[in-house]
Order: sequence, then C-alpha cells, then structure tokens
Amino acid sequence: MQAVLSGAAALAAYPETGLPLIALGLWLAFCGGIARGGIALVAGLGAGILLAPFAPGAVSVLSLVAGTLVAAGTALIGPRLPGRAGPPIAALTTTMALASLLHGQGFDSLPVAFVAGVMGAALLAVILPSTLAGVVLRGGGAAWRALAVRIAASWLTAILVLVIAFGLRSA
Amino acid sequence: MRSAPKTLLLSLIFTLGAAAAQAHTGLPEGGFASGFTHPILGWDHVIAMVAVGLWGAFLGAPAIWALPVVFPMVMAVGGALGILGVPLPAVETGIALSGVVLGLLVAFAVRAPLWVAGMIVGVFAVFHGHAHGTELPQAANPLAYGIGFVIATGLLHLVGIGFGFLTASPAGRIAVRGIGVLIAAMGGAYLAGIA
Repeated sequence: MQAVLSGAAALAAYPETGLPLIALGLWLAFCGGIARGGIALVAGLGAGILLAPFAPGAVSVLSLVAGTLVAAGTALIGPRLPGRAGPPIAALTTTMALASLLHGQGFDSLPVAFVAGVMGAALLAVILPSTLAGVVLRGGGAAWRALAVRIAASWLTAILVLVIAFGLRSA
Repeated sequence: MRSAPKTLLLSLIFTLGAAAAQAHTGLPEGGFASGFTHPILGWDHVIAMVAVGLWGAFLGAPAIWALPVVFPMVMAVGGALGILGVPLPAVETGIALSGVVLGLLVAFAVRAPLWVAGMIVGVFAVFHGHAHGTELPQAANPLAYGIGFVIATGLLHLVGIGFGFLTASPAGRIAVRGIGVLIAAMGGAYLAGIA
C-alpha cells in the first residue's frame, strides 16, 4: 500500500505530469467525456510506461508543451471541438505525461505497486476534472457554463506557460 | 440609482482601496501568496485588468467572453518572456498607456471589432505580463506562484466584467463610463510620472 501511495504522490509532485492530464480532462469534457476517450487513455498510460526507459530528459518539456496546447485548444475552441479529437489527444498526452514522470526508469527498477499508484493517480487526474467540467457543461443551456470551463482552461494554459518558463530559466 | 448598482460601485471602491500600493512590495515571495498578491497590489495593473472586463461588457458578446479567455494566455506569454530575461522596450510606459487607452475606450463606450479589441488587449497584456515576469522572485515555487498569479489576474477581469453588467441600466452605463474616465486619469498620472 505504501508503494501505491508513493506512486500517486510522485505524480502529484511533478507539474509536468499532473497539469497536462488536468488539461486533457477539460479537453475530453468537450469531446464526449471519458467514455469516448477511455480506451485511448489507458493505452496512452501503457505506452508511456513502456517508452519511459528510452525517453530523454526533454520529454518533460514536451509534456508541458503538449499540455499547454491541449489547454489552449480547449480555451479557444471549446464547444466546437469534434468528438473524434478526444482519443488521439488522450493517447498522446497520457503517453508523454507518463514517459515524463518515469523517464530513465528501467522496467525492473520500479515496484509494480508503485506503477499502479502512478496509473491510478493519472486516471484520477483526468477523470476528476473531466467529470466536474461535464457536470458544469450539462447543467443547462446557459452560455456561461461553457465559458466557465473555457476560462478554467485559459487559466490552466497560462499556468503551464509560466511553469515552462520557470523550467527553462532554471535549466 | 438602484441598490444593486450602488452595492457594486461600493464594492469596486473598496476592492480598489485594498490595493493601497504599487506591486512588488517586499511581501514574502515564492509561493501562492506571492503570486496572488503580485497583480493585485499595484494600481497600474489593477485598473488595466478591471478596464478589460468593463470594456468587454460594453463590446458585448462574443468579446465579453473572448477577452477574459485570451488575456491570461497572452499575459502569460509576456510573463514567460520576462522570466527568461527577453528584453521588451518601454514596459512601464506600455503599462501606463494601457490604463489611458483602455480607460478612454470604456469612457467613450467604443465598440471596436473583436479582432481590433483582441489586438489592443493582447499588446497590453504582453507588457503587463513581462513586468510581472521580470520581477519574479528567483526562488519562486513555479506551480504555486503561477496558480496565484493567474487566479488573481482572472479574478480582476471578472470584477471588471461584473461591474460591466451595470451597463444594462442607463444610470449604470453612466457610472461605468465614469469609472473609465477615472481609469484613464490614473493611467495618465502614471504616464506623466505623477503617481
């Protein structure tokens, strides 16, 4: 159990992993919800873990950039996002996020429970914002509902841009 | 004047009154509180953020939602340039000018096309973001600082938009345009180096 919690905590400790997944959750809320991108989401998690041993250190910046583009797309396009845009973006974003978190780690260097904790937390990081945004969007026909989610995505974009800048400065 | 506009106007006065000094006052730096207080503790920033919301209300849909969605993203780009040390000329002048221009746009209830409004607001957003980014503490917790900074900026826009709804009534419209005059005057004071 300790290893599971450690895995979950690892995801929370690294914004380059958590923020893009939250952005993905908002994106999926406009693309038909988790149900539409669920398989791609799980596939992306698996791909990220498989690619992590071979991923370079720069993958964390790529993950942040991907998250920024996803968040910005949600803010700018929002309700006009096509449903088919859900699965490929879900797979790509989760692959990069997981590869970023576990990059350089060999398959035999991490306990299975730790990886399970990472995957569980990653799923929650997508499902919770997506579900919350979905509740807001489905609450009625008022235009402000979509606007609220788009503003949240806009703020998330801005936060991601600042985190990228901080990362580049310290590098 | 009805009671709701009165309440909103009083709230605006008290909100602005709370920002008693320029930003960058030496408060504890590095985390959420530092990021949150950075945009709020500076009249030159506050008046411009509020003016964006007020002008959006005058412009109506879709500008009323487009400006608060676009502004934080463009401002963050300016912030990133500041963090990375990319120079930008006449930043303080641009910030002061933003108060003058946006205040006058509100005062005269100018209805510009969305792309023109976006360009004006976007250019000023870069100046404001750059100023914040340049003066960030070196040891800032990036995530906490960014969250506080962006939320404070967004809330200032929402305050402006909230007061912008006063334009639904004739008296409220006059009041909002009066606020625009006040904002332009304050921007002018900064531009002239009086404030």
